Amino acid sequence: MKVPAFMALAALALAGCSSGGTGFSLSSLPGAAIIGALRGDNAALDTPPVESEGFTAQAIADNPENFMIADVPNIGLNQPARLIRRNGRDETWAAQGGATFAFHDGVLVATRGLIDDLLAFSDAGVRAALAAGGGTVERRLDRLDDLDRVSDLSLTCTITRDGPEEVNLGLRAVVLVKFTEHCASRPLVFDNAYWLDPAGDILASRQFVSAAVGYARLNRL
Amino acid sequence: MSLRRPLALGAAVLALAAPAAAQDRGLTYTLSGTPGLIDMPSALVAEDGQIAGTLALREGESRTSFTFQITPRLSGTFRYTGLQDYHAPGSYYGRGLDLRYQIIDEGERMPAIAVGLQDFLQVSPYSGEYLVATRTFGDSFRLTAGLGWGRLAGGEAIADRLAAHADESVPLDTWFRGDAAAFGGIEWAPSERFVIKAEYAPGEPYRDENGDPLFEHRSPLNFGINWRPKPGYQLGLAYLHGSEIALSGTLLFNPHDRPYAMGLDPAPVPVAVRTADLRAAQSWDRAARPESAVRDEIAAALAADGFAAVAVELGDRSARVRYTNSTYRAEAQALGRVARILTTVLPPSIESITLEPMRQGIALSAVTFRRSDLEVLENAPGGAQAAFGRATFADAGGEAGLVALPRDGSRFSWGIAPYGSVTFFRGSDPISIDAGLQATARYAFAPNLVLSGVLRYSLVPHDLPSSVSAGATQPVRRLSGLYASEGNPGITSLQLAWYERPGRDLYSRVTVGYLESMFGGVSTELLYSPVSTRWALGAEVNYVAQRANDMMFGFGDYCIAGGTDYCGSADHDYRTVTGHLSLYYALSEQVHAQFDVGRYLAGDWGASVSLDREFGNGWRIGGQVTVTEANRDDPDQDDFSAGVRISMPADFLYGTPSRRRSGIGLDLYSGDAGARLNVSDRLYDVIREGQVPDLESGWGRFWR
Repeated sequence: MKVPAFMALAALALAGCSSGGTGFSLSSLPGAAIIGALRGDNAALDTPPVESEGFTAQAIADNPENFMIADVPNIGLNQPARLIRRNGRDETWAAQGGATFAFHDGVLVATRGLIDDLLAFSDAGVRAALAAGGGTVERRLDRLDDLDRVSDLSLTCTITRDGPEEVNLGLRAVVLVKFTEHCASRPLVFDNAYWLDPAGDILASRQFVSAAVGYARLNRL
Repeated sequence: MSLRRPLALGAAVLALAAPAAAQDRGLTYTLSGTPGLIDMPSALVAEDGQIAGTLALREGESRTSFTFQITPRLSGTFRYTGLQDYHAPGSYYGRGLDLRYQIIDEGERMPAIAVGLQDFLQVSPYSGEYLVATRTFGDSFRLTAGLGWGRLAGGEAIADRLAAHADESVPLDTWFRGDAAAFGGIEWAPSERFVIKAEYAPGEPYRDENGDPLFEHRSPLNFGINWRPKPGYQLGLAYLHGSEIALSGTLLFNPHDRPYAMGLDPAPVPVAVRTADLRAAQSWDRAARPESAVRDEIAAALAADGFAAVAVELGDRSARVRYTNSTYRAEAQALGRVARILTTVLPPSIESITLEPMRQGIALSAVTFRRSDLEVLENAPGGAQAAFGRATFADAGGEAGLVALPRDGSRFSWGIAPYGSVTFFRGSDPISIDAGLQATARYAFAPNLVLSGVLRYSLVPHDLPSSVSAGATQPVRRLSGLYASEGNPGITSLQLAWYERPGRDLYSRVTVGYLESMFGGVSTELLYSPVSTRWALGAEVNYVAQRANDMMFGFGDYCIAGGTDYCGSADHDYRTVTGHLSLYYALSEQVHAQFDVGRYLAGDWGASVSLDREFGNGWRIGGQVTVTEANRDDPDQDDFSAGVRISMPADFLYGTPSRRRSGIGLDLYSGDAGARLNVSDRLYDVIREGQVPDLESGWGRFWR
């Protein structure tokens, strides 16, 4: 990221040391710490939060269904992510660095902790179109603009069946059926891809996050 | 081709920005820091919100300008100029303000048309007015033609104006009067990075106060070239009047251009959704889960995300939590994060969650959410607006029912940081730059009762001024040069501040001690600010005495330094009562106004008007004008005081969450008349961030 030169003066004015030690750190991502602080048997949760130190080979081997690989090449994120919340068909997964990905029935509906998040994205009709072998759906995407206002965009998305492909999920290679979703609404155009198993579950996908972040490749282990 | 900048398109992902308006493309700046040719303006406007800083130099003259595109059509320019030998053998140093309004935007056939006032609050060598039209042809040619008055009509026209109206302020009767002359020019962009210009500038060049030319004038034609090596930077070279070389550099910045997009904020805790059975519960088992345990969990969970839980009230179906946000700039974002955290720790029977953000130890408001709303809106399109619409906003509740939590961290804190400041027109110095180290310390007897101090050590030597201008008004600010010279190191403040809530919608402050670098005493303030209104009313009364110029613990002794008495017949042991009634009003989501009337620091009665454009991402750019009886009665004071200010949020610069800010203020016209006490943390700025107008403008970050 480039910062205008004269803003260095402002940076100097804001620099310094203090007893609080609350300096600026690009790597301080306390999301996992928060989750750790919330550990415990809380009856309010339908799914208890996953422990922060749970990204071990043993944990993955024991419950591979609770892990995925999140790859967001535009921002250099390639990390394991694990399931931290489930409510019916709504799931939230947290990457090892703290970023979270929220899905409804496997369709990405929000991200947090990325520099330019997907604030909210409706998924109405996507699963039905996938089940039907294709179709056209209207989706609404919310994002924050440069003045912190929510701007929304309506997109027409066309889903088509591309056919079976072998997909390497990291721990295994499987043959899945690929679908492509072409979404367009001036000035935004993108193509999502979903790979479904015979039961209709999305095991791998490449889904749009935002113009700055681009796509997230999300593979269930 | 360069005057029409192509819109960058990605192969798969198109930019979400709207296409740039035609007049945004290939914009270059004049020596006066405004969009235009070389020395003459054009009718183009910059992108909304853009700030341009320009330094232009030629032999015998310097111009430093800051131009702000206030609205899509209106721009303002603050300019500081130095002109050698104007008062032979002395120099002219002046501050000026321009306004320009684009009447018509450039269309398919119509040119852009703009009207402008240059250095219009006074009559100076730079004062002038113009009407100008600009048309772009194809991708690389642009033509500008206009009619100018005053300075823009040539040296003779402005000399006549100066001779007839030199002492007038806000000289309405000179605007668009006197001789007028045509001007114009052409711009050609042979490539993306270069713009070549030629202009016709009427009349002779600048003249001195006697009307004699300051520069040799061989031709009315000026030629120039602008180089734009990167977006945000421009360099210019010009050949003026057939005899002069001028250099210029412009830095461009727009608060809309966030270097870190939405920011590097860590992901929040996701909402924990209750099952239907749990949601239907009417109470919770306190034997299995005691309230004290829940409170501890709340405190730990909030602390992990940078919040301090202050007090908690727990019921079977409702909870109230007071917290202090010292991490996130937008209080709306803090509300969203705290609410989400609470869904994970509150007993499932609790449906109503009331949050009371606190600042300076006092509660600012009470925002109540239905937990079931949070459970369905978190990732829903339109969820931010829906959460705002379904929340209720009220004044913070009382202390009854609340259980205070143990305080987090030490009562004492300290810090050391560099500081820097630029002061215009301190004594005889046109610009005074200061930089050094600043130590701060703070001890909180209670959250709302805090002792704090600032000690500064300047690394820049400041000589005593040779003289201080005379005047009948008490020298409350005129002696600032003595404080800079004698008060190093100096205690800039050492005070005890006490904040309270004396009643519904009422807030109070009492501050005692060395309130600022030049005054100490007692400052009291009362603010009436209903949570949901766009207005607030404040009253401030202060009794202060002028501090010694060594900026240590004494009062008086501010007149004499180096054996010289700089005060003349003025009071040498000045004490006064000063105060104001203030009306604060949010004219719109982005425009805030403040009106003050009262008694100023020098004992002069008057009024001030302030206007600020406040961007939703935290930038604030504005200005104020003050007129008092001292401006009217004392010929040594300016006819009014005015200034502009810029405040930048740290999270914009660094990307990481922060509540810190950096600011700069530029006084266009200032002096002892209209001076105000610089007491810190006045109530309105403390409490407004927790009230509905500010919450609404930052609500886009609620789910971030």
